[in-house]
Amino acid sequence: MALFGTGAIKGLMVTLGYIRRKPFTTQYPEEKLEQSPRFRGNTFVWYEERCTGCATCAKGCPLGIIRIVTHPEPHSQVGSDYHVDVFDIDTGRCMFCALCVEVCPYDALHMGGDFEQASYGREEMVISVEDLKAMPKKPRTQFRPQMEMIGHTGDDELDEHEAGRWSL
Amino acid sequence: MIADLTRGILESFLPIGVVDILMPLLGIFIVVNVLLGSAIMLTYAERRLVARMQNRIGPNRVGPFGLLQGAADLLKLVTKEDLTPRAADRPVFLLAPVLFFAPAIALFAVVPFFRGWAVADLDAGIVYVIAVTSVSSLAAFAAGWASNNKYSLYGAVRGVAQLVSYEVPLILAVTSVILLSGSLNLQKIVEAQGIPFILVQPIGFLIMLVAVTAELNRTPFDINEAESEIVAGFHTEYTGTKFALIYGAEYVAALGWSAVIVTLFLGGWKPDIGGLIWFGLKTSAVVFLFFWFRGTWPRVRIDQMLALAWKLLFPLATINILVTAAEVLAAQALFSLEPGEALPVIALAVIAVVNIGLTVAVLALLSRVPGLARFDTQLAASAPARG
Repeated sequence: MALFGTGAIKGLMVTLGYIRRKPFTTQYPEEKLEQSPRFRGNTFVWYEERCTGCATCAKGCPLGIIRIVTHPEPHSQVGSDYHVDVFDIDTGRCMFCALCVEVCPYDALHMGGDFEQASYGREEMVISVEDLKAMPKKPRTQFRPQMEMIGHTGDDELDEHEAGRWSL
Repeated sequence: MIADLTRGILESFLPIGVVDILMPLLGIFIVVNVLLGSAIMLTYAERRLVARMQNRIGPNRVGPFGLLQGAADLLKLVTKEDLTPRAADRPVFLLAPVLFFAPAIALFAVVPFFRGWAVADLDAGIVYVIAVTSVSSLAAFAAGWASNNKYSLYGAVRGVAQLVSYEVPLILAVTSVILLSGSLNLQKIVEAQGIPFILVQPIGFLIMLVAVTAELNRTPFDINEAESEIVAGFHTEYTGTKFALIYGAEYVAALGWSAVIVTLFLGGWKPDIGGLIWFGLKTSAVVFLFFWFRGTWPRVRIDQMLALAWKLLFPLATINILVTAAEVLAAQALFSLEPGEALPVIALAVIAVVNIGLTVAVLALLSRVPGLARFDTQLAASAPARG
């Protein structure tokens, strides 16, 4: 026969047991959680060598926030007769749907894994072509899961031959 | 001891009349400052403990292990803008936090810290405790009414309903202790505890614990602050220093009531070795109980709260008094004691055995009541699930 109050004590014992357990909290600036391979951060990885300047990504963008300006330059890059002068991606308005990555016929654009891009103004959130060139080449595998088949987890650098559904 | 030493030092260069006035003031000064300091540390301790119960870490940024969090919070609150709503009843609105804080501190005047030492060794100490703490409920109502805010008023009205209900079983539980010790003086009550009264009066202790939780507006009886229902209850409109006073008063009061529970049921400063250590440890243990309750149980509904007070605690406390009175009378007849004389340890031991048996029987009986059994199961299921 149970006594009145055993339920209350049972409840208390549960929380007492919790005190001895390790907290789940991640101490963010010091500790960071591992991202999944298909994580979409708010940066982009762009392979200049794969890009033909076709601007399919700009057309595919539902928000129209990608602006591409090119000029003809025969045989400047592999498979391309155009040189990309401007490649502005306004991440301040981007919704990270990764449709630009999906439509890219040459697998030149990928989502990046970085998520610490806070800034004081919307203008600073525009990624320029210089920024894109300088970004670490660590593509996430959103819409291009074929990259996982060579053991890529999104954390290591891939060169332009490895990034994509086929090599150049 | 230390008091005599200080007295000796002061008398070496001051006239005796001045020293007589100075000594109590010095005692008050030390007690109040230690209290304020521990209230600040308690806010930190509660946040850390409850956090661990919820698998979090809690404040750990300010100072080593976040130890300075309380000080940082206090600084923040004191430097904040001091707002008074335009529609508020200004004098009452300003008075309420002070009125709320003062009784919490005043409670400690009669608590015996050592053998033979309290700031004021009143003969009617326990009456003073109950009288003084009732003022804080008035202050809470004044705060809620003067704020001229509907949430404040809801909180204030709930608070009054709760305090009126729980003051009754609380006083009845205290009465059973008075019957046993034969004195209203807290010092004498401690001395009468050959066996801690928690063993002699288990039901009285349980009633006291529940009633004090309600008296302190702590979870599961925090319905008059109920942040998920009525913003912050009676202190919704308070900011800055005034809020700091109210917030601090709750912790000082928690400390004060814990000290009273220790004095009444856990043997106060006994065993009389190591000075304040035992008293401090016991008080901390009771304070931990309140933190533990908060980390575990959800808030009760207002009807559950009232039903618990009037349908369970009040009859139980009344029966407890009758039983205790009969036991004390029997003991007095057996040992041929004068009324008001402390009971010998053997009598207390016999009463303890009888009362513990009775407590188990009562708890078994109560588990047969469908409503209570359901309430109990809810308390068990309410604890955060293992995940």
